[in-house]
Parts: sequence; C-alpha cells; structure tokens
Amino acid sequence: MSCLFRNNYSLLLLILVLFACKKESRPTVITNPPITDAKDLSDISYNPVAVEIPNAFPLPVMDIPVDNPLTEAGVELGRFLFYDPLLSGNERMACADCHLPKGGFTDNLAVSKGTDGIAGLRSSMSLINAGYFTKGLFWDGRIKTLEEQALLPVEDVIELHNDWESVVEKMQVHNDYPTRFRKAFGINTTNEITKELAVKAIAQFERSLISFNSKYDRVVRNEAFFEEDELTGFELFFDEPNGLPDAECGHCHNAPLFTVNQYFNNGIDSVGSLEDFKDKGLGAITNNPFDNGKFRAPSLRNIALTAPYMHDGRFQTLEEVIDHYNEGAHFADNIDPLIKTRGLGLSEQNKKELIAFLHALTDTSFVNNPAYQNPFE
Amino acid sequence: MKHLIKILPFVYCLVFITCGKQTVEPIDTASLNLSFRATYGEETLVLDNQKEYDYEGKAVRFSKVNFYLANLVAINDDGETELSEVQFIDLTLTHNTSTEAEIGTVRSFSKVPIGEYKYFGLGVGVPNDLNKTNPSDYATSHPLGANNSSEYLEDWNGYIFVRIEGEYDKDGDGFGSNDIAFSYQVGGRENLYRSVEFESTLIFSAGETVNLDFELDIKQLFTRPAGSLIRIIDYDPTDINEERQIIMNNFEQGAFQLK
Ligand code: HEC
Ligand code: HEC
Repeated sequence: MSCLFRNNYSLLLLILVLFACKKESRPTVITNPPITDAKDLSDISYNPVAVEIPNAFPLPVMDIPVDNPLTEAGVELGRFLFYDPLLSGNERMACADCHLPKGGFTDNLAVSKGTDGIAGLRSSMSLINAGYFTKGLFWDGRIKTLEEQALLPVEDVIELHNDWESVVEKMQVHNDYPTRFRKAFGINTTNEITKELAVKAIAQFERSLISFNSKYDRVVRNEAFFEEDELTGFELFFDEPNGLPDAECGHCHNAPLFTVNQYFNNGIDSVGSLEDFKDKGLGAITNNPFDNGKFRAPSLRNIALTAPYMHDGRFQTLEEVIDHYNEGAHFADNIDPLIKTRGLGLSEQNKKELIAFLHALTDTSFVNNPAYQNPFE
Repeated sequence: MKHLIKILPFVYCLVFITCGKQTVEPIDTASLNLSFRATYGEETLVLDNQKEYDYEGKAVRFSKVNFYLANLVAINDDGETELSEVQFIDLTLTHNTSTEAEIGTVRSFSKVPIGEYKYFGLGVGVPNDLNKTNPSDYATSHPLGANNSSEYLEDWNGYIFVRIEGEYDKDGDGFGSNDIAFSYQVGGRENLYRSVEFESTLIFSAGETVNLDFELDIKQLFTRPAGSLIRIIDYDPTDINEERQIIMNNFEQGAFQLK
C-alpha cells in the first residue's frame, strides 16, 4: 500500500476512491493533534500476521469485530499495555493489578482498590473468555464491547486515575511503543498513536484469553474421566435425572461458557421492595425497576481461583456460595424462578460433590500460559 | 495517459472493493415483516411481573416469554420457499410496557422471492436435526448459540422450545415467598415440535413489504381441552409432562394466530 501512495497518482486515486463512495466515507486514520514532533515510522516493516483462534471445542466460534482482527503484533502490544503502569496517573498501577492471571484475571479482593488506594464499589471480574461476552460487559452490562470498555479504567478516578491525552503523549515518545504500534496497525508516524488504537490492542489481547482445557473440557472431549464426586457434582449442576436434587446451576451458568450472558436476581439481597437494593445493578442502567438487583451471571470457569464471590465479594468461599443457593435466597418481586427461596435440598455430601465439580472447571494451563504473563518481568 | 491506463484497473479494483456493498441491483425481491405480540385472553400481556391477571380466581403475573420458531416458509402450489431456518423470539425484550407490547417483537426479512402464496408455515420449537446440536456448534450470536445457552438443557440434550415464567399467588394473599415462582420450560423432545400452517393470501411483489402480525394468547396456551386451566407448580421439568403436551398442542389449536 505504501508504494502505491508514493507514485504520482496517489492523490488522484485517493480522490477517486473518496468520491466514489462519498456518502459512506469515514476517515480511517484518526490523528491526534501533533503534541510532539511526529517521528516517521514507515521504515519499520509492517507485516501483520493473523492470529488463528484455535479450535477451542467445546467453546463456540468467537464473533470477532471485523474492524479489529487479531494479529500477533496487536495481541502482543495489547499485552504490554495491559501490564504497563504507564496507563495510570501515578504510573503505579496497570490493568493487570486488578486482573491477575493467578487470580483467574481478578484481584482476589472483595472490591477493587484503584491507583490512589481508594476502594471501588464492586469486585473485579475475570477476563477469561471475555471475547465471548457479547451481551454486555461489567456486572450490570453497561458497556457493549471490549474496545469501549478498555477506554474507561484509564480515566476512572478510582481505577487508573489518568487521562488518555497524557497516556497517548507518553506512548508517542516512548522508546518501544511506536514500533509496536507500527507493527500492529501500520501507522506511519508517531502522532498516529491514539487511544482508539491502544484499546483495540488491549481488546485483541483480551480476546486471546481463551480457556478450554479444564478437566470438564477434557471429559467432554473424551480425553479424561470424572472422579465419582465430580461426576455427581456435574449431574447436580445440570439437573441430570439421577434421583438427586436439582441444583439448577446450569440454567444460568450453562456450558460451554458456564454463563448464559444474562442478568438475574439470584436472591443474595433481602429487600422490602425493588427500590431497596443498595446496588441496583442492571436496573440503574435500564431504569426499569424490575431490573433492580439483577447482575450478570458470571462464568464459572476457573471459579476456584477468583474468590471472593458476587458483585461485591460478599462470599469468601464456594461453600458459602452453595449455602446461599441451598438455603439462603431471599424473595423479591423479580427473583428468578430458578432460585429457590425454599432451598434446594442439597445434603452435605451433595454440596461437596458440587464443589468438586466446580474445581473441575479450573484450567491451570490457561492460568500459567506464558503468552498471558507480564512481559516486563 | 499511459500511466493512467496502467493504474486504471487498480482504481476500478479499489472502487469496487471499497464500495462493493453499495452496488445497486435491480429490485426483484420483496420484504417481509413478522410481528409477534402476546395477550392474556383479551388483555395485552405485560411482562416483568408488572400486571396481575386472573387465573381461575387467583392472581398470576408473567416475567418471561420466549420461544423458537423454525422452518419459516411461504407455501404455494409449486412448493415452499424457505425464509428462515430458525428464529429465537424473545417477547421479554418487547413486552415491558403495554405500549411496547402493542408493537411486539418484529423480525424483518429482505430479499424474499416474489410470488403468490397461499399459506405461511412455521414450526414451533427446534426441529429434530437441529435439536441434536448444541451451543458449541454455533457462533456465539447464532439463535442456537452460546448467547442463548440458557435455552439449551444439558439433561435433555436439547433446546427449550417455549419458556414461560412468572409468579402465581397460590395462597391468595399477595405475592411473597410462600407463592410459586414458575418456569415452564417446554421442549427438548421431537414429539413436542409443532408445525403450524396459517392460511393467508400472500402477494410478494418486487420492492413491496408485506406485514404479518402474529398473536399468542398465553391464557389459551394454558387451557386444557376441557376448558379449565393447567396447574401452576414450581419448576420441576418431570412433573409437568402432561402440561407440556397441552401447551404445545394449543399452539396448533388457536392460541397462536395470524391476525
Ligand atoms: C482498580 C481495579 C481495576 C483496574 C485498574 C482495572 N479494572 Fe477492569 N474491572 C474492575 C472491576 C471492579 C470491574 C467490574 C466493574 C463493574 O461491574 O462495575 C472490572 C471489569 C472489567 C471488565 C469487564 C469484564 C466482564 O466480564 O464484563 C473488563 C473487560 C476489564 N475490567 C478490563 C480492564 C482493562 C482492560 C483495564 C486496564 C485498561 C482494567 N480492567 C483495569 C477493576 C479494575
Ligand atoms: C437464576 C440464575 C442463577 C442460578 C440458578 C445460579 N446462579 Fe450463580 N449467579 C447468578 C448471578 C446473577 C450471579 C451474580 C450475582 C451478583 O454478583 O450479584 C451469580 C454468581 C455466582 C457465583 C459467584 C461468581 C463470581 O465470579 O463472583 C458463583 C460461584 C455461582 N453463582 C455459583 C452458582 C452455583 C453453584 C449454582 C447452583 C447451585 C448457581 N450459581 C445457580 C445467577 C444464578
């Protein structure tokens, strides 16, 4: 492409192309005002190599936005940005500080603390298989895409507390990022580095976080067998007809993602009316009182690694979570019919079996995958 | 000029690539809008448990109604024209207020082959061949894919054809934890799939749009052949086998109508 534009007809071509589709033409390159003296990058090679998403059965095919295909250089740039404290105001905190691989990409805190040490209101969310979460992100679904999402933490005062302008400025004069942006997106000068490209790269990295090698997955692929207790746990989870009680979990945390990407009131709060939820969750976004107290059912993949649990981290252990479903759910006008306020009738033995199954959703090969670790270490 | 000629194919190529989607083709197809509305008897159905309806003297309210339709076809003497293999119709998204409920859920199809048809046919549920698949087999956003994995039951190895949820004031003293939050999930099995044909003269002419309005009466869906209403009980799929047959039969027998 660059050689094309070097010949004399480049202008003519450009005009022709623009003219031919005048109505639809959108600027393809978003250029920041030149804050610094732009450096030419066009001598650095740009040979994007597409990342093939592996056949991740039983995971489905991921829907990847056409304007942000995964490339090796893009994912790698995303990984650097994800781990780089340069994104925060005091250069102390990175995305990864609240989304650590060993915590299943959470921070293992009830509610997260930002770069200034101020606590937020909600618990960090796992980013495992985030590329499959296409019916809203966050506990309340307020954001649609990973690209949109990645814009937010940088300017959130209780997260990275910075502004994009200064992040972009730092990236433009950085000794490494300009080359990485060039290799990822084919930009020609340093002032073409933008926040839009930065979040595209972060989103590419997030879409590469695919977990499909838990024991459960291997059993589904006929590569392994469940132990007795895991098998019973599996049957309880999915209401298999085995004469035992139905735990109903699969309705909201269904395979293969172990979430159905929907919003429910799972009865953790005792409220007098729908207006009384401390955190209104989905209702604060839709302004529909019936949605108050509804949160996204998170994926249970690697759930053993992501304690504490729920949007506010109120439960420390999986045992506490199961006890909630088994006997502690509170009635509300919008409680989901699959949450039993009268309890599930699970015995102590059943609870252990269910937990054994939840442990079979842990994928250590994912958590320890070198491609996901801190590139600065 | 010589240079210009050299690059001309390139220019064409570029223009073609950038604007490929815009090339105007002569219109020789029609468009079709299908709308789906639900009622409870004569009343508009409002979901989100907002409105109470009479259930043989006790109160019932509804929170969710969704179902699969498959094999949507227009039929004439020459045979069938398929419009869609499978659709997931979620009335929950459009029945939160009575104003919205009047509009209903709309599905639009462009490029419907022109012609005259006598019947509109569809299946309620997921036909056997598709019911053997599962969400792992599809892209996330496909109607049978992971974004609708709530509608796939592992223990059935099949999809929920029809889901109706709500609350039933069993003890008649207002809704509370002693009452029944029900989730009627019907489907999974071949013998519950129902094919319905609606007689209607359909004329699809070039560039024209045909609107078909479907209405689903939830009360009629819950009515036994003898006229009384089916029991409402807590979610337990094995206990409502008879009720499931009744619900599915009612799709064929007037509860689902083309207005
Ligand atoms: C201070 C801790 C903190 C930092 C820093 C942080 N996050 Fe988060 N992240 C959270 C919390 C808390 C939530 C849930 C917030 C909510 O639901 O309101 C979250 C949610 C998300 C989600 C939504 C996941 C889902 O399943 O919906 C994504 C994606 C995400 N973060 C990515 C990032 C990226 C990318 C960065 C860096 C640019 C980042 N986070 C920085 C705490 C943090
Ligand atoms: C009606 C839907 C529904 C059912 C049934 C259900 N859950 Fe949940 N689950 C949710 C929702 C919604 C949340 C998030 C609630 C919140 O944070 O406020 C959740 C959260 C969780 C969490 C915490 C996840 C995290 O990342 O913090 C675990 C663990 C969990 N559920 C396990 C189970 C188990 C085990 C069962 C079966 C006994 C079950 N769930 C049944 C909807 C459901």
